[in-house]
Amino acid sequence: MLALKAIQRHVYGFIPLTLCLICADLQAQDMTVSGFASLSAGRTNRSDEKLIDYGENWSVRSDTVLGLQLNAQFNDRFSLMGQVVSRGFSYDDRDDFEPTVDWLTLSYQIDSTKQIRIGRVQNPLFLFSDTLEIGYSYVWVRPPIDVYMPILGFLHSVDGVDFSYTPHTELGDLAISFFAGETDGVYNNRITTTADPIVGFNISLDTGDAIFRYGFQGFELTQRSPFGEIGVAFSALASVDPVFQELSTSQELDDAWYQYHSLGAQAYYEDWTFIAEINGSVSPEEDMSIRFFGTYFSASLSGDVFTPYGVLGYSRLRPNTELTDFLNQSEAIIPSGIMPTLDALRNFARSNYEAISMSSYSTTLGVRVDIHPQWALKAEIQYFSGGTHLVLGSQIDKNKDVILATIVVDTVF
Amino acid sequence: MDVLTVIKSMSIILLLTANICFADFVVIVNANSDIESLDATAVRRIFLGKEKLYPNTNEKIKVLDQDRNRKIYQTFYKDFIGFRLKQLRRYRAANLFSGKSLPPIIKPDDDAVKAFVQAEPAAIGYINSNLLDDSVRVVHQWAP
Repeated sequence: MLALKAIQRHVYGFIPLTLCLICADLQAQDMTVSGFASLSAGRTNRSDEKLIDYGENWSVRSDTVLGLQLNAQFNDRFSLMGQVVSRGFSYDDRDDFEPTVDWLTLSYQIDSTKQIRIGRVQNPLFLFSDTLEIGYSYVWVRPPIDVYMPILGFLHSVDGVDFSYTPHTELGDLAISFFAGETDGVYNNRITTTADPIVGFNISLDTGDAIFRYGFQGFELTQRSPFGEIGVAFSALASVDPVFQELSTSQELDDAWYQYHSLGAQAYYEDWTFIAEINGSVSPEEDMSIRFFGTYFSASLSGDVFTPYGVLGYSRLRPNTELTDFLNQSEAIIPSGIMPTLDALRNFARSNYEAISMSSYSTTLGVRVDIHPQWALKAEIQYFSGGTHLVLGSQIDKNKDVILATIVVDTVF
Repeated sequence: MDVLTVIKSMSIILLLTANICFADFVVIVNANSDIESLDATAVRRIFLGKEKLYPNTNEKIKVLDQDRNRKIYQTFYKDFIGFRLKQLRRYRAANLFSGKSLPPIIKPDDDAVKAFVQAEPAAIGYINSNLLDDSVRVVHQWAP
């Protein structure tokens, strides 16, 4: 099975590369190299926990990004795009600034409105999923992290195929895409996630004054975490009562089907731009499943040079409540104080549950300064109430708020 | 001042005035292209990278832009396409780095656009209408 997975991953990830080499013989008609970069500096008011790796001392690493892209057009129909990105910080197990392939696609343009791609694309979860790292392309320092990161941390790219249809209609420019593939990743060096398969579709309508988008995806999720070791310990008591077996399996997730829905809109009125998104998951309410909900509203006023903006956000994570029920049931069977080891296990499981279960409001104020046609300077300050789940699973003090200040320079070349 | 001189002077003034009054642009393609005309929506979609192949020929479109400091570039995108230039730059960056479309090929002026369109069957560009001749085909024209 593992060998099959490895082959599958190679098929998705390296077919475009192989075809690129084959097509190199055909000589690309056009080949272009372009890139983007962001240099940031930021700090928080917290010394006890880091927020996207910013702490109480100024750091120039977390939002610093360098990306290089190659586009090759082989003929009227076939083209290839590869993008390598080096980030100062990521939620997965990559080392700082380790280059990773974010995009590698071979595209075939069927006709003027239909296209099929194979390879690696960014998971189309949000309005700005495709351009998360391209700070120059949006007004903020970064897209609303409290809404975007809890799910992007796990599922940021998809290896597979997609088909898009982009006709013009009476209402405006329509874009419909379907995709299927798989993805995996490691979150915060602790939680290993595999979504296989992952399938979905997105519909967007651009009326000229506004863009409306709905996205759906379903994925079969498997998660492994250090909490799984607690599960093994609980299973030793499975012969005493079935609830200990339930506690054992509730620490991980196996082949659970999730649904994810997202609704977004971007509207222009004179010099104002308004953006709103709402998204959430429907989880199977079993084992270590987590239900996610997030929403934000952004307003910006575009001047010739200065673009001030503000964002209000809310996000919530709710783990499967069965876990606390099982813990309570187990205490009815073996009360606290009888088995110190069991008490420690239960306390650990309960604290993990509470660490994952959280909600947060955020307020962001900032300004973008277009200092040059290809350079933008941004400064923003963000306030997160009641802690934040950007450090999912850690024992952060939720009674203390977080303030994050960031300055960034974005460019494209 | 004789009558002829007066008529000549008036003609020059009229011609200059006409140039100002009709300081529009035309969208041009190769003279041998199968494209006869394009409506405003089609032109807008082509220059925003939403159409990659010509609808009736499925030939890859080569979109030409003029230098961004030229007046015609600003008129074309602000008044015709309906994008602020800052918004356009962000849009183009997003399209490029998400694989949606490549930015247009940039030419320094009208003459360079016309020369490229003459030589390249799949090219499309915009030039001031007063520079038009029969070496290229007009598929759309616009006046403010």
